[in-house]
Amino acid sequence: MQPSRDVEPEDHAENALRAFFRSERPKHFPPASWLSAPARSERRSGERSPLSRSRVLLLGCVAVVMGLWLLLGPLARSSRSGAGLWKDTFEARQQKPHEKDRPAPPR
Amino acid sequence: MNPGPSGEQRRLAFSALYEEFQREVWSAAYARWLDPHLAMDITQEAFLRLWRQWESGESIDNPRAWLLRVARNLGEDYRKSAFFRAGTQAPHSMNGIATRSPLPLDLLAQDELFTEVRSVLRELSESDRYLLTLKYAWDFETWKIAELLGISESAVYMRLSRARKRLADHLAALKQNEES
Repeated sequence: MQPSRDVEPEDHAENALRAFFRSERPKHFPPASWLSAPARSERRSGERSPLSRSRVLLLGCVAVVMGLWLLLGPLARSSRSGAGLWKDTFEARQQKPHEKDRPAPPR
Repeated sequence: MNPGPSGEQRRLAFSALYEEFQREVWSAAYARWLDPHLAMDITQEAFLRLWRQWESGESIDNPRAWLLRVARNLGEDYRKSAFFRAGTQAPHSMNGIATRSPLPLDLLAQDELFTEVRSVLRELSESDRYLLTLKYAWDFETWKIAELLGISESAVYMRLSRARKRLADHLAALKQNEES
């Protein structure tokens, strides 16, 4: 079992170690990698699963879209009406007083 | 750890312990003696003693440490035993004896390689052999090995690399001897 010319000596050594230990270990013990993946609490700090990474990415995208919508929505409305953003906001407040400020309906 | 009064509960707890620690105990015994059959005997005896301990109503706070300690003591008992002192050879040594039936060439080459691996392993410390066993026999992750041995991950990488380098040098020297 000689190494081929293009295999590094340390790779060959690693392959030899792997083959040796696999021939030695009890066959009825499954290797550790066959066990269930470690629970989140067992993971090292800072290590994230691919699933949690994709969740973070998705939440980030949603946050960016919401931010753009909140920022650009009023600007687009103001450009359509020809009035300024602050004027729109002021008028809206004037037209819609708070519920508590409204007079009680007659009985 | 107290498995509780129920027999069924005790059996379940024992199965879970066996599943969790069988590789570690075997690896520790194997790293000591480099004999897979003896390591298996020691592993089974250690777990049997744990079971008996539970049956007798004794509680064990840290089963992992208890099992590893019992495995180590069993290994020491074996070293002192008449069987060991009489110089009986392990099965792998007996494989080297020539037989009339010729072995396939691949098996011969593999035997030769494994003999070299074994001789390099004998030169390493027991803790390095334990580390290599956990890594290559059971595919434990590096962070898990670091946790089990109480060392840093970089130390695990360093010791693995050192062992591989040593074996690579050994195999290269063997190859040079064959070619010359």
